[in-house]
Amino acid sequence: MATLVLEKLNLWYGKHTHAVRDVDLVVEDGELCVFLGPSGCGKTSTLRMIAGFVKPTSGRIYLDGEVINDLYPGDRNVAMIFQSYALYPHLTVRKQLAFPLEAKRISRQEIDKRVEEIAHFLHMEDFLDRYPQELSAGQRQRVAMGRALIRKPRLFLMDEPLSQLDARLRVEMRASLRKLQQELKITTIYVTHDQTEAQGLADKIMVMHLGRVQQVGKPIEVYENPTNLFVAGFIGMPAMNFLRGVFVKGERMEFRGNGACIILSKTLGERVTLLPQKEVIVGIRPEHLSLSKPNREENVLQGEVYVVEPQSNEYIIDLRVGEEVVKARVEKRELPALPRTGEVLRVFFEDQYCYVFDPEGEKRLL
Amino acid sequence: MWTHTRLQKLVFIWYNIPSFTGGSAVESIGLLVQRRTRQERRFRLLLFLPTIVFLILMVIFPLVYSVDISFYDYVRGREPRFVGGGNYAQLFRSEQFWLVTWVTLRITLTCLAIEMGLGLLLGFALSQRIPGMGVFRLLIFLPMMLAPLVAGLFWRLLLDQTFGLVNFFLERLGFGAVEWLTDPRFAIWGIIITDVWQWTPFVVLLVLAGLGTIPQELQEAATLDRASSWMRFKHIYLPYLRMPILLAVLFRSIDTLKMFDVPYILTGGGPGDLTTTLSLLGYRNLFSFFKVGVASAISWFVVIVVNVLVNILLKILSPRKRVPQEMVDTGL
Amino acid sequence: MHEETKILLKRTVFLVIALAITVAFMFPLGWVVLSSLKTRLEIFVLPPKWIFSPTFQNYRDILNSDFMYQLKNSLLVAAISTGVSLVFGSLTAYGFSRYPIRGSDNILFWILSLRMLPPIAVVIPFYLLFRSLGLLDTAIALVLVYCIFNISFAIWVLKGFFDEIPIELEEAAKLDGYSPMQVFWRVSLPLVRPGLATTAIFCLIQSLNEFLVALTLTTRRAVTAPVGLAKLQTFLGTDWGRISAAAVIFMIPVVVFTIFVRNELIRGMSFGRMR
Repeated sequence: MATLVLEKLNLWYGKHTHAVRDVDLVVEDGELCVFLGPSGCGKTSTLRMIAGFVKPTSGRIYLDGEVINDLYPGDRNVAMIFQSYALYPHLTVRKQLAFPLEAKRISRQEIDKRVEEIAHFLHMEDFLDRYPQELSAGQRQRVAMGRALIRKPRLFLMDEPLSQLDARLRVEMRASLRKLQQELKITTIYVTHDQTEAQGLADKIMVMHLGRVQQVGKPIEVYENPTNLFVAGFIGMPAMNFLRGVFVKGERMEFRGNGACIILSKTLGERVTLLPQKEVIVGIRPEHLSLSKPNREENVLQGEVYVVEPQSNEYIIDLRVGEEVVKARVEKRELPALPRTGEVLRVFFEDQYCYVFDPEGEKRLL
Repeated sequence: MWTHTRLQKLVFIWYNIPSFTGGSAVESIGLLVQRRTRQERRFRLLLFLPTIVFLILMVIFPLVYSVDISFYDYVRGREPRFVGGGNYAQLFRSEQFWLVTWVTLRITLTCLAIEMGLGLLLGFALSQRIPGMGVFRLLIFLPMMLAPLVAGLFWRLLLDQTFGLVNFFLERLGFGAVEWLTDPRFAIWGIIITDVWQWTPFVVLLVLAGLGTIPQELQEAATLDRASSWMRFKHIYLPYLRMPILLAVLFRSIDTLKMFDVPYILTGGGPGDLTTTLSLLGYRNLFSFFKVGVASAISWFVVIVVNVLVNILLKILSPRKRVPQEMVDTGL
Repeated sequence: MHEETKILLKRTVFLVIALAITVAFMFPLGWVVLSSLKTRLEIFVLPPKWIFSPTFQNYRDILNSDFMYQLKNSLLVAAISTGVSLVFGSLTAYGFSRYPIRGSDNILFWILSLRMLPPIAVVIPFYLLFRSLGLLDTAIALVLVYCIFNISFAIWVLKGFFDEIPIELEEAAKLDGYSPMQVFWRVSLPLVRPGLATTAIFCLIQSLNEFLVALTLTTRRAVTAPVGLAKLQTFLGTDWGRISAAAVIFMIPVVVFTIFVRNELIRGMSFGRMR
């Protein structure tokens, strides 16, 4: 059983840098929790506190119910894969794998046995006697995994372990990592800035920004129900479109901002009227924009084609709507031909895909 | 010594440039303010305590004692007598002392000038990427690895007025023999020649290191732009040579100010006191005259002169307007 | 063709210049080696003889004299001082690198500035101190004083090397359960081996070549090679053949060491001072 609880965790660097602010989190046994956020958001600092390399300025870390704040890293029974893998350049793969076990009083035979096991498990038999410098990135990654797993830790930490691999290998490794974690049922924390990775791997995602937790939830939750502007904009590729403007009551509710004008549907308009404020930011994901029939008027954006990025089965079209640029993902079968620059296109969205945010506090309103 | 802040910063920065550009400021702040586990704190004690204790015993204490010594008059057989600033006053009134100071300064300045000039030229010559240069680069470093005393011996042999090779060649070339070690006009040059011979390679080393840091692309860009030699010199070489030159001047001046071995073995300080350096004078006061207090005063004078000179040099040569790229990159 | 010959010409010119420079600098060395093989008479002869039948008598004399004992003293003192300094220095350098304390910067600056301390300032109080402690003319006195300079040097150099080790390696080891001391011993130290080697060699050379401190603090028993060399020059006259032979013998360890560190020299060990 390995449950991790972070209670009001805070970290100050010196007097001026508040790297981690009031972080609360519960990770259940066997869960893979992803710390997601841009560089400098505090996710790596939080991870390092869990590992024990940095002591929290305030707050507590519980592992299986006991406070581990003051425990030396080596006494926490936690394993970690570093972004750079941190393989000892002066040891062969075999010795790297044996290294963690040699710290404890384990017999030589037992050590050798476990090294063989892990080498077999991760398909490393071929290069057991080579040095890290002689290995490919993928091989090094496996050695790093082996070194972490050989100790049978109760918590597994990973700091952007796939960032050193090329795109294709990254996707492959993602799948095998996930499978491995599920087989071994080890509680895992995974740090990344890549939200695609997070979506693919996580049982639970903790989105962080500027040291604070923005949202914690399942991947689908974070995608469908972002609690604020940041999460909405960070999750999803390409990012959600944001339009600043006001709701205007005419014969229909309209949204007007920066030259864009959207007539809202009746149901949407009713919900919008209930909102306390008028100045808002409206968010719509590119994938929720589809080509509209010419006679449709409600929930429609009209704009000039600005840039077209053809993908394998869709076009990512940048539309100039008023002063704003809106991205839309339109499947190829919807369009007869490649859209040309300047062409006028109309796209629409369903009610439930319209998100409204408060420009000040950036919280989600709708 | 501990007021050399700018020198220290410069040396520290030069030395640490690789690690400055590699690490991050936050990391180092992180290391500094981390609250350590008990194990780590005990370990840290082991890391620092022995050295700190050693240095307190072997450096701080003797240096403080040395200041104390300089306030006493020592005479063989009797108890030392407190004279306050008497030793210093006596020194500053002594003609011999000022002569020796002047000799020391003269040696320093002359050696600096020659070594820097020669070192730069030779450095350039040896920096050419020509196959076979490596051998020459290795050989040229031998003189500075020798004991200065041995260098002094070498030149004692070469400069001897009767059988020395130097005079032999001078006569052959029609210049006439010189009494290197005893002529009041030339004795100091014997010292200077020895120092130049031994330490120009050091300047060459620094220059080579500096030239080695010039990115190849800059040279290529200059070729594309058809830059003249002067332009190349000013914009490519000079910025990368600023640091090596500064370090060379710094280290050489400190070293020559405390010179002892070469005058001791080459001329014994003579004729008269014309090649006596301050360190040699201090030694003589200690051993020949047993005037320990005076010797100590002289030694502190050397310390202060070194300190002052270093500060002046830093002010003149410190990169103020044009900062080396490394310093910009690390946000200093 | 024209370009190629231009390059060839440039190369030849530079090589010739380099050769001339090297010959000029190596010349005194060569001359002393020659002199060591001459008899007393041959040295004083004018014009100096280039071609002569070499004799090894000088070497035989030196090898049988006190000088070998003095050389042994030098090597012993240098070795012990270097060894001690490496131990103290590596520990403290590691401390400055990974476990800095408040004011580390200032303390480090001060330690580095010890390199520039004029020996004359150090030698005077130590002469009196050691005299009263009965430690004059002992190897231990020299070792202690040399350690001042060697430890500062070691800290200076090794801190840089420790800084270069990615901290993740040490963190990984800590996580694996190694105590801080074990991390130092099993991970950090092996990774700075080249730094240790370089420091050792420079410390050895510096200690071997040191003169003023040895001259002041020794009289007979603990005399080191440079002092011994100086003593060969008596006011009764100097046997230049013998002193040359002694100098050559003394040069050998230093030349050997230099070959080992040639790469560091060229790679800009410009902060590694020779004194």
